[in-house]
Amino acid sequence: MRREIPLILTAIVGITFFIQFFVPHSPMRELSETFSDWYSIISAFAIWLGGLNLMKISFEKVYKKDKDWFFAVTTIVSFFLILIVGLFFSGGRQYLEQGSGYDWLYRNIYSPLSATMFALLAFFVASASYRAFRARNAQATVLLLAAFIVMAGRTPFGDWITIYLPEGWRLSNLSNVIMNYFNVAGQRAIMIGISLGIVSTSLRIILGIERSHLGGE
Amino acid sequence: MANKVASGIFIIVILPFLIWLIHKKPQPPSVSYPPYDLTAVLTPYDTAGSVTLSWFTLEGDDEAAAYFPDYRILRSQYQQGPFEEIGTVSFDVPRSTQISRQFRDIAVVAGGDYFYKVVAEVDGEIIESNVFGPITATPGPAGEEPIEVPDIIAFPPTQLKAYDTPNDNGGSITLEWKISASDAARSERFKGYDIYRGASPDGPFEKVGETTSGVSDSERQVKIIADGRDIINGVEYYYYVAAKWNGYEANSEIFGPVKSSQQWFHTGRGVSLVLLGLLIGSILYFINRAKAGKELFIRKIGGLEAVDEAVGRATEMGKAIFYVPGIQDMNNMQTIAGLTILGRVARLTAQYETKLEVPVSRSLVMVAAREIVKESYLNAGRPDFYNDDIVYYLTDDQFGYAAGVDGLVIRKKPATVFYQGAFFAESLILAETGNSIGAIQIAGTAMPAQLPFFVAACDYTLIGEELFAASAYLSREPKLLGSLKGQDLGGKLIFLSLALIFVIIATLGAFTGSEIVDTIQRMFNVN
Repeated sequence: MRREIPLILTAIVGITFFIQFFVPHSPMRELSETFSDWYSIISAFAIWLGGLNLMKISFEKVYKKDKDWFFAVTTIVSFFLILIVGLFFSGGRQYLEQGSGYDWLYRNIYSPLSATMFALLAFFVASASYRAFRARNAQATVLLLAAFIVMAGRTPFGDWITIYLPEGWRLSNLSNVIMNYFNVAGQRAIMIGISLGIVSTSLRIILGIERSHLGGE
Repeated sequence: MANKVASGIFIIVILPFLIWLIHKKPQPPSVSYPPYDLTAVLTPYDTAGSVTLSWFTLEGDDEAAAYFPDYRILRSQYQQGPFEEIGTVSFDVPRSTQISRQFRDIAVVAGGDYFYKVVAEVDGEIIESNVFGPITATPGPAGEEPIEVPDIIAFPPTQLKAYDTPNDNGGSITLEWKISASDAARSERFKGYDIYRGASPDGPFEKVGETTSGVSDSERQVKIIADGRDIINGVEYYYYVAAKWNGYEANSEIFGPVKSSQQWFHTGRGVSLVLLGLLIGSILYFINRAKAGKELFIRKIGGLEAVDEAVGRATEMGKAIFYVPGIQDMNNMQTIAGLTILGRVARLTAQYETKLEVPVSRSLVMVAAREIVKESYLNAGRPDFYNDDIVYYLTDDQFGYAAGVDGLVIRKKPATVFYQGAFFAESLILAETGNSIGAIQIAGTAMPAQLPFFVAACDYTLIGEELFAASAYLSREPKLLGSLKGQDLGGKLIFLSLALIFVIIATLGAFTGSEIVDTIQRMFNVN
């Protein structure tokens, strides 16, 4: 029964959503909305599991003085700092309102840290490009050439060095051709494959053929 | 052979025809854009009782209209005429708004009924407006300063139409109207529209909503809004809309009756149903073939073949394996696909007694991943090797999660890292960090924008559909392999054939200037 009940629930919910996509008539819309609400409620409760798990593991690390245990201290302090400030130090306002303690932490600590992580992407793009764009063989050379045209074509430099060529042959135009035709064609092919994969996987799950996400083979 | 010929004919001839037959045909617009759309109101505060006319300009009457012909204003006391010319508006008269013009008829007799129309001759063709009227010239109360065209005159919205909102489960009526000429001024003094609803044309009417100024469809200068407030299916309703201009209101005509109802089928999704039906049919067919014991050939997928090698490498090196299932929740198919691979990896790590770590960014994923890992360890005969801390939660935050995983990778230096699921901007941050410590990395995602990053930074990448094929590929269970074959052969054959056929038709259509390109686009629009 431990396996069958989730399978039956999955089938009911999956078939309901499938029918609702084509049949707007009652009770399909109401049923699908109810199932969506249930999902939101379960997710909301599950966040406790995540938070408690994070604290449990972090406290254990500190208690056992595991390697790098002081990182766990940072996690614990950050967790409780934002929780306590959000709950008790909002000055009588909603914790999300501008000027609250939570808002201050969000703007001055969280946002800069997030932006820093995001900014690292620029350096990683450079290092990954350096590796990917080596002309090791014919295919890699084509990739390198396409990358050069696209990158140079997106800057004034690209048109500057090809100013004497007919307009259609300038780098900005070639760059657009690569992005609008070759790139779009490739992306669409991948998207079609993904869509077929999603339909097939959904069908397997709804029919109960696919059970590995429930812990089975 | 006969089967193959029949399938070919079906795909090349019958299927495109069927799709064309059932696709949702475009409906004629409920609110048209006739020339002018003439309206007339009594000029406020004019004690002489003049009438102010407003109409939308014709095509060509714009800023550059140096030689646009004059508009001739005609008036009659009867709807059928005869009409006499009472004035003209030439192109060099300043327009009231960018898209409308006005004229004030001061030669009216108080108490008289009048009908109006506007006429212009453009390129030898005489274009007439609708006949507006009757309007009774009534002296207004003395008030503020005499009003100059086009100041503070509120013009009503016109051509109000209401109809049952299509493809819904009732409880909604959609309203469309041609915007008020006052709205065309794009002035801050225009305060939008109030929507009134009543159960009979005589009222009482109750305000059921309001909306801002502007248009929903700029081509037709039309505002569209759905009224879903306490609508009971099958009950008749009447509507009017009031335009609010600088403290004044101008009401449209009353429209009704109109009833809302539920629809049994979403007419915009007929093509989707046919294609989905074919795909599902193809998958089920191959599942049955697989169940019957037919040998199915599945091409090799490098990324999945390398799973054993990657786990083996970590075992030999005595280092951990990291498994990152993306940053989306369990309602994302990629996460589910990623977790199915986790089951296989966990089983191998249990067999080889290799340390596995699964940092997750969603609580539900944590719960599901634990179940999967636990079951895999049980199946591998090593339940003693399992503990809940193999799968642990970091944070829901995208970059917080990336920072957390990066930190763990740098400190613990795993031999192998799997990225299987939905990834966004953090994909390269994670993969480059893993690359920097020399870990063997196997990625898989169905996010097309992230694939190049994974290809550049990882040793193997499952591209799109390969991620969804992983479960079947790794388990080698006939039923799963059958579904894979159905998706691969049936699905792709149908969709590629259709793509080819419609590309040829669309290309021919583009060269001949036919409307078929638009029709084909509409066929595959899912709304």
